[in-house]
Amino acid sequence: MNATTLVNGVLEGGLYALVALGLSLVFGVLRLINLAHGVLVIGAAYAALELFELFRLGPFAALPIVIVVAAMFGFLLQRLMLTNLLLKGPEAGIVGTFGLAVLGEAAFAAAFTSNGVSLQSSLATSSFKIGGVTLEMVLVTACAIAIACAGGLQFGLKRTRAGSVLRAAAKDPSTAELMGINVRLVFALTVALAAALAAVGGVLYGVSTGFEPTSDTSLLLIAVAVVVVGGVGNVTGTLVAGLAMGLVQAISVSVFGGGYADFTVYVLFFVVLIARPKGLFGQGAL
Amino acid sequence: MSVMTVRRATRVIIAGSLFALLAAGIGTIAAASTGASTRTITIGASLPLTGPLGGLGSDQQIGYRAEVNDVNRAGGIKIGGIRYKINLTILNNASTATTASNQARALVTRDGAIALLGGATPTISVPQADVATLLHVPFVTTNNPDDAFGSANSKGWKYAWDVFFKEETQAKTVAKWANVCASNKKVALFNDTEKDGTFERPLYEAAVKADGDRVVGTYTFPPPTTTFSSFITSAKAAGAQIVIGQMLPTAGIALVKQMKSLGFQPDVVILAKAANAENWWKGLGSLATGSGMELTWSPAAHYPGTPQILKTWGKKLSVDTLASAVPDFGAAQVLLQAISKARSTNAAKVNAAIAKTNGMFAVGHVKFSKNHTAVTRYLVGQWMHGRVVQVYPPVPGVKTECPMAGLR
Amino acid sequence: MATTALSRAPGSVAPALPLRRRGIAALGALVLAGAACLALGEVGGAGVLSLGTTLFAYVALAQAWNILGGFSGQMSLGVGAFVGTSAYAMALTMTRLGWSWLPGMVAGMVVAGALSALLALPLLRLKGDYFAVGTLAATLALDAWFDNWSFVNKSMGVSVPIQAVPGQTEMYVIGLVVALFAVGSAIVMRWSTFGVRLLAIREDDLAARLLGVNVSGYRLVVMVVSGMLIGLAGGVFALSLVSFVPDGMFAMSWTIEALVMVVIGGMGTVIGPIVGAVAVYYGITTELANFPTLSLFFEGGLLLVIVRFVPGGLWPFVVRSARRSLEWRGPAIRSARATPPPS
Repeated sequence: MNATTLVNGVLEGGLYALVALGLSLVFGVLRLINLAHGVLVIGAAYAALELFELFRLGPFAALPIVIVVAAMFGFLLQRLMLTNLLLKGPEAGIVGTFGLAVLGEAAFAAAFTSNGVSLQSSLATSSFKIGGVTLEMVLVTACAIAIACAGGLQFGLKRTRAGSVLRAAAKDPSTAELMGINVRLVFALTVALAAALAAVGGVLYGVSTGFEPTSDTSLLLIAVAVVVVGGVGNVTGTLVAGLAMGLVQAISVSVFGGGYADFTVYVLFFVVLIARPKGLFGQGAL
Repeated sequence: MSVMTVRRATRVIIAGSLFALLAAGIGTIAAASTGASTRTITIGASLPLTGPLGGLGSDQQIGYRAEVNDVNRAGGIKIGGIRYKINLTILNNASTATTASNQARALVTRDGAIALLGGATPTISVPQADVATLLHVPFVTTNNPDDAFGSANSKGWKYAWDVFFKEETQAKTVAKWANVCASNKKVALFNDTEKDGTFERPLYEAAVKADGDRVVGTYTFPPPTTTFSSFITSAKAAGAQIVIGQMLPTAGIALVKQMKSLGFQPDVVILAKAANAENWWKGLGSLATGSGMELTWSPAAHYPGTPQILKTWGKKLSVDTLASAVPDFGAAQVLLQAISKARSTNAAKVNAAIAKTNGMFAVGHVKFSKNHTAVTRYLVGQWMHGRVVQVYPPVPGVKTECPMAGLR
Repeated sequence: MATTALSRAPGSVAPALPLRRRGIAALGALVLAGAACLALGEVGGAGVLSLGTTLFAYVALAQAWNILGGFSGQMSLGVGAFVGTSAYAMALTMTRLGWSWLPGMVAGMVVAGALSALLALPLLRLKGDYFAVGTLAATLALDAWFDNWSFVNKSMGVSVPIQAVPGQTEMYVIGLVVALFAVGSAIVMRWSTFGVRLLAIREDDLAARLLGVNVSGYRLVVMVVSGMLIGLAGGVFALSLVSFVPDGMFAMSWTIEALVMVVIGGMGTVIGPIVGAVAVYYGITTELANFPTLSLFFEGGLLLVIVRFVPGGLWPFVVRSARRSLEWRGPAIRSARATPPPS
């Protein structure tokens, strides 16, 4: 086990955190496990691929467009679909978002075939060295963006008016409604924000590795693990849990072999859930 | 009132679509039971047309269909003085073993298939071979390395047959090719934990050792893995110059990208299963230049029928698609020839005819050994400018390009 | 309490009948249905036998999920954990101890039940979404463990000895018996004081506790029964698959299929899961096997349509519509009857 392995493990964790942030937000605010979150992530990667094929836009030039499209999609999704489901109870939410995930996978397979693809960028293949440690450029970028997003989100939730409105709506929707907060609008904006975060994660994921229509499942599972370990709705917790997950995975792979990458993560997930259902770092801001 | 009307309308639509579904189902049953025309023989294949193995499965479909079309165009198969057309029913198992097994069963019991062709990789083929064994239906498959398939049934296969290369040949050929390039003889192995990967790893270890190479890193990982930085760092630190592996295409794309990113520049890279489809180039672009690819067919190998294959398909399909589709073409040839030699659709007779197969086919010479596998040749190709060229065994006028250009 | 709970039971045809008599009537109907299926197996060919075997196993799987999710209100995302352990227990006892399929299947059921009891201890402390996530975590951890455990041949998987697999007719009967057993368990749970208390727990566990119901005891029993039934279904799947690997047997897809079938058919009802299993496995999976992408579109789309417009599922919807058309007396009555919630 050398320093490069550990450092890149942590950086990969940054990518996990980035993918998990949106899921955590929706779980925390809407009390909804969005099983379609992985589809939002992969969808963004496919959108970037399409923009490349249509207009020769590189992944990072496409990113702003993808973010806007994802946010709009998230907003409409909440408005037209999720609001109605949430009123019917938690099962409806799980089943409905699962239905969306199935539809998403079908749509990707129909539009892009089921072959593995990836986003090509010079960032994916470059690296730099600090004191003998080689850092993957794309992972450094992902990690930096994850920290920036988590920081911005934390600041926004705690220090801005919009943030306190959001927290009020999350804590007690009916009281918030009575106090003149448009809860439905707040919820829709939350899903839009979560989709935008998912889009950032998706494009970076697509650049750093390959993906296929069914890649959403493993992304969703790791994101759920990160969210639960970090504490639902706890933005800093999610970030720290993501980084920790990457580190733990790198260590277990070096010590026990590649087969144990999943094992350690999921055992950790189970143990934390049993011992501390609120996550290692508590419920957090929401 | 209008809300009521909308609700009513929704109900009517839902009820209507349900009835339609039911009616369609009944209709299909009726069609299946009455439509079994007397002049066709049904052969079934459940293939991974989508999902992680989608690339391989699609090429299989091309190969199987091509042979069936050839036979039908030539008038079909003659049994007892009557000419039968072949009806090839293909279902998609979306790369899942459970579905592959269920579909194989349905193809025989519902669609009346008298024989089955198999889907790519042991994950898909072995459950299908089990079904064939249970139902006593001849089953010919390909795209399954011989020993992983042959050993999957400890009692020995009875109705299942596999035409593909043998892992030992694969390991030895790859080790020889790797040494064509001047390198420091240090090897890193990357294998996923599926049946074929687990089977191939020790053979590679033995083969490279026999050629005087040293394995400096052995890395195994579950199939969906797409992050490899800790392995790459370790292989790089160990000074590996030869990378040999077996994994799914998406994992392979991720591995090569991350190798480039971490500045790991081995001279030789060959990733079985991952590089076997056209999207290897689509996914990696010029990064793939110089990477190896395993072949069971190449125009330069001069198997019988090669000019015909090139004439019929050469314009429509690229050489790398053909390289992947021809084994399937060959497997279908073996099955159809056996049916026609058996002069019967009786399972035991067809099975006996398959066992007696001994001759040249599109994939070269086919003769089954005791464990029901027929060893085909193993060739190494190299990706150059978006296409695959056979480089080992050496072809006059073609030289292996090394070190691997894409990573530099 | 009993009457309020019952009147809320979806799909209740004649609320006037006493609880036990309705249960007995339902069991009688089940026996008849079983006999009809047996007769169908006699006259149908190989196609009916193999289709039926798988369908029966899915009916059992869906019903087992329904008992936990629909009756007791605990959404499980961990069906694969019990399918997997049962299938492995069966294959290992058959290959290593030389058992035949029947004791092997019983072993699978017992091991799956034991796993449920073991998992219940930590999981039952979790509520709602967290319970669902916990079952998911347990399944993923088990899958990853089996993938690395040399005793079970790691990711290479195991197989049932192929010569010990019963013939097609026998498999059909085994599948049928397992399905009848699952549906019978659901009937007994539904129309008994046990079931009524379970409904009370589902609707308001705090209130049920205050009324003296042993909430965690009931939940434990339901979880174990559900696990054992999934184990039985897993045994049928293991026998028809013959060889399998951890990633297939502990897969997320088992949960997905059970959940989709129950939700489409009608969660919390006895008939719903059967309707759902037939509609999904027969109507979508086999009919659209040639169009995999289309069948995914259908499945996803149907799920969305159902949860959005027919939240109770198809069976309660059919019952409601039938009753409404039977009782149609004019616009006044119709509009008054159009509003009550399904369940």
